[in-house]
Amino acid sequence: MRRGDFLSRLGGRLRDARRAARASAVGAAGWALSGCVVPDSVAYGYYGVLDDGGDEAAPANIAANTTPDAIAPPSLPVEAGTQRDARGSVDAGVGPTSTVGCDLSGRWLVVVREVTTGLGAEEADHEWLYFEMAQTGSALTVTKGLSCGQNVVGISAVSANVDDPKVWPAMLTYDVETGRAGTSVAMGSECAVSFDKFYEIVGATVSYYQNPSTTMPTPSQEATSGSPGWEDWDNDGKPGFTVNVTGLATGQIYLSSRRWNQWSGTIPTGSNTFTIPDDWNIESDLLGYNGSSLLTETADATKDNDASLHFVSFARLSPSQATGDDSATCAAVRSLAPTLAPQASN
Amino acid sequence: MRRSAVTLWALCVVAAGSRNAAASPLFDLTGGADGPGGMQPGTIGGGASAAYFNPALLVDAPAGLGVGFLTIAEEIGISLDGRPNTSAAVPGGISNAAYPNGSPIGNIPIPTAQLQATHPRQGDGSGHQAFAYEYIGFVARLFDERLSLGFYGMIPDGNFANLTAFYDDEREQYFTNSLHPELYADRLTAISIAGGASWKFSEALSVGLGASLSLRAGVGAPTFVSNAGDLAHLLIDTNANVNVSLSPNIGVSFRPTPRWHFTGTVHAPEKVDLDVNFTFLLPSGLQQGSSFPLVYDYMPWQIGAGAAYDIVQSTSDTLTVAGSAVYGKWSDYVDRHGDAPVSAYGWYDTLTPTVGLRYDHEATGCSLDAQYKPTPVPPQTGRTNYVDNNRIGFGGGVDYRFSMFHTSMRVGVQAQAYWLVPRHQTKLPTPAEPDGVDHYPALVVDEVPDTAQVGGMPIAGSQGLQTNNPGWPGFGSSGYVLTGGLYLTVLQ
Repeated sequence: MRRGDFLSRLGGRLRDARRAARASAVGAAGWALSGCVVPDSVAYGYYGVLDDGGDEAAPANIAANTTPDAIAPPSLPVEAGTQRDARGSVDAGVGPTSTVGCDLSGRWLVVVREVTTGLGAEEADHEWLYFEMAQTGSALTVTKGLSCGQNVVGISAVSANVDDPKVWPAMLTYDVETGRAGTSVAMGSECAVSFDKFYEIVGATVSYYQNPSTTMPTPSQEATSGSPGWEDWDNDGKPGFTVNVTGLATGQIYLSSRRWNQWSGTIPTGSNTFTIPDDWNIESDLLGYNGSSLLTETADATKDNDASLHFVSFARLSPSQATGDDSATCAAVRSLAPTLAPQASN
Repeated sequence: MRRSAVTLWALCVVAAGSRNAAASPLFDLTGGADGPGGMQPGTIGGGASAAYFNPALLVDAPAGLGVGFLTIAEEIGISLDGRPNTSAAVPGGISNAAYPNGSPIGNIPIPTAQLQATHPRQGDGSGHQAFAYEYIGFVARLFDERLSLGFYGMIPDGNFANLTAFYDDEREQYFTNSLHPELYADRLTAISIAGGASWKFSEALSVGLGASLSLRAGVGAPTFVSNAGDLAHLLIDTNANVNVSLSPNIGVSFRPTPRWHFTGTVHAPEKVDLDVNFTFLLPSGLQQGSSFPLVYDYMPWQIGAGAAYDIVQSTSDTLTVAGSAVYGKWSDYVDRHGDAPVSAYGWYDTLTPTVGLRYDHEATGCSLDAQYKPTPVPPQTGRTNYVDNNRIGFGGGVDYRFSMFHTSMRVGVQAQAYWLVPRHQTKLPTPAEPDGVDHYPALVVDEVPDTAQVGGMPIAGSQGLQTNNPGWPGFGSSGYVLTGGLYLTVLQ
């Protein structure tokens, strides 16, 4: 074999080898770095209040735009890479208005119902959500997920009622479920629906405490510009968020919380309303209280062992329902919930 | 001969001074990826990469053709401190803000809340990327092996060259609103092609001259705007030109004894220039234009010296200890927008030491290096946000020589790991400037001066500092860069 022929063949084989090796090398580099990822991050901070009136607002309005946090919706920390909605208008025409097969694309009112027990009393915790979903094949993605607030209603003879509306604007801003993934797969005349586990933080630095390996903050751990901790989400000067308790005991407790949930179940094909089981748990972090020490027991309530009590209800929204900016959308979701998802609202 | 070489060198220096220069920050990171050079390619030869690092060492490189591939992964995290309160937020409704005398306040900042909603801080960083490259090199001998010629080129897969400009201060709010590693990211796809020649005056002394390829491009974009409210239908021509030029480097290799080896190198500054010119013509006949330079992949004057000593020399084994240092004149640095850092935060010159071992046993060789590269960037406590860290690196490689089909070959693998030592800096407070004049241009800029007005009315929330500088009130950085690759050389 002449040297030229040999080099020519060698060159061809080297090209093939290089392609394979190059892909392997890039993969190997990625694998090597995956163990020592150093992500970009942004610590909690304040960015002022969005100007719904537009940038060209008259000077008289400017003062309103810079309203102190104490009376304005909380200013928001935004983490790199996450999608935060700018409170723009909701396009009421997003997605289909009825379900075809197992395609759950479109706009949904979602109510989560979770039952806790403490001191023999039972309370139902409700959270209201607004979802816009897109589906490709069986892959489901929440393209816009708003947390519209929560409440707790006593459902046993002796129990407590809990209300915390002042924290709802902060939940709307911080607890964004946009990007949550799921699946909806046809199984005969049914669809197997599931949603990935999602951690929701209330009253503390979201970006930090969404990591379940972290310990929730102590009363002395207030968030600063350089360190995570509890945050005054309802701007009342108390740590975390304030829960007004009535019934079994009366007073206020100051909490931060980390809750996760994961949903899965089967539904009939073509469902415009459906309910699936909710697997969940919560870490309530008591930061203080005002009133009877019995109030602290409210914070220690635990998940009821009866799995049938925990579920999430979905109801498809019509184009005229729950429209406007995010605040208006959420207000509509809360008012529509008892009608569109009555089972979960009890 | 000596006069010709001096003349050629002088011409190359003039060429470098004319702003047509090359760019090889990629070489700076990968080192001698085609042989035992490792992290000391200016002191230890053995491959065609000597054409760039020290052309005098081409005499030590085996003649032949080399190919290989290389991959680099950067994982550089940037952590921004939280903004402590809303008083520094730029308020809304200031599009028409002006000084009391009616003069504009300069670049109008975007209301901070709006900016955060649409371009969140650090939402578009560039410190997490992986690249793949292929390289080719050759070394040839002429004139009874007194003259050695070498060529070395590294071609990124994908884009041939990625040139990404960003501002290092509050002006970046209009684009990515993020900080970026100043000396990595797009610089890892710099054009990296070099050639060199070496003349062996004696067995002890050789001198080399090399040059790396560069581009200087100009882009003109005359534009007709028929309706300023409908930019989707503007008319535009383009006029682009690209020139190729060379940036020189010189090296010397001296072996006073069989065991000692000394080297020296000088690299001229390198960069890629891009001149952008645009004009706007309106239906009224009014025409305005502007031009600005962009500078990519800047490398400063670099002067290197190295020494190696063979601790063991036998017929089958050689153990060499080597050390080198490179002085980089980073105080001349210009960033991607052609701006030099302000004098209050001028960059430092650096001295980068490297030590290592080379061991050869019959047909097998291996290398091991350690390097400390101090950052040239001073703490960024002012307006600018140049992100860089001190860097500690370790590198190693193994090569094996064999014969197949009556052809001698060498195959090798090499890798480097760099740790960017964590660093954090907190911005200095900008003193109050009640007269609305920027008295502290090196510090974080108050983008809404206290005296600014809209429609003759004071702007609520304009007192004190308002800034969208993404690095305010402070930031940190740390991370890793890994490189590795395989190479094959078919020897002559």
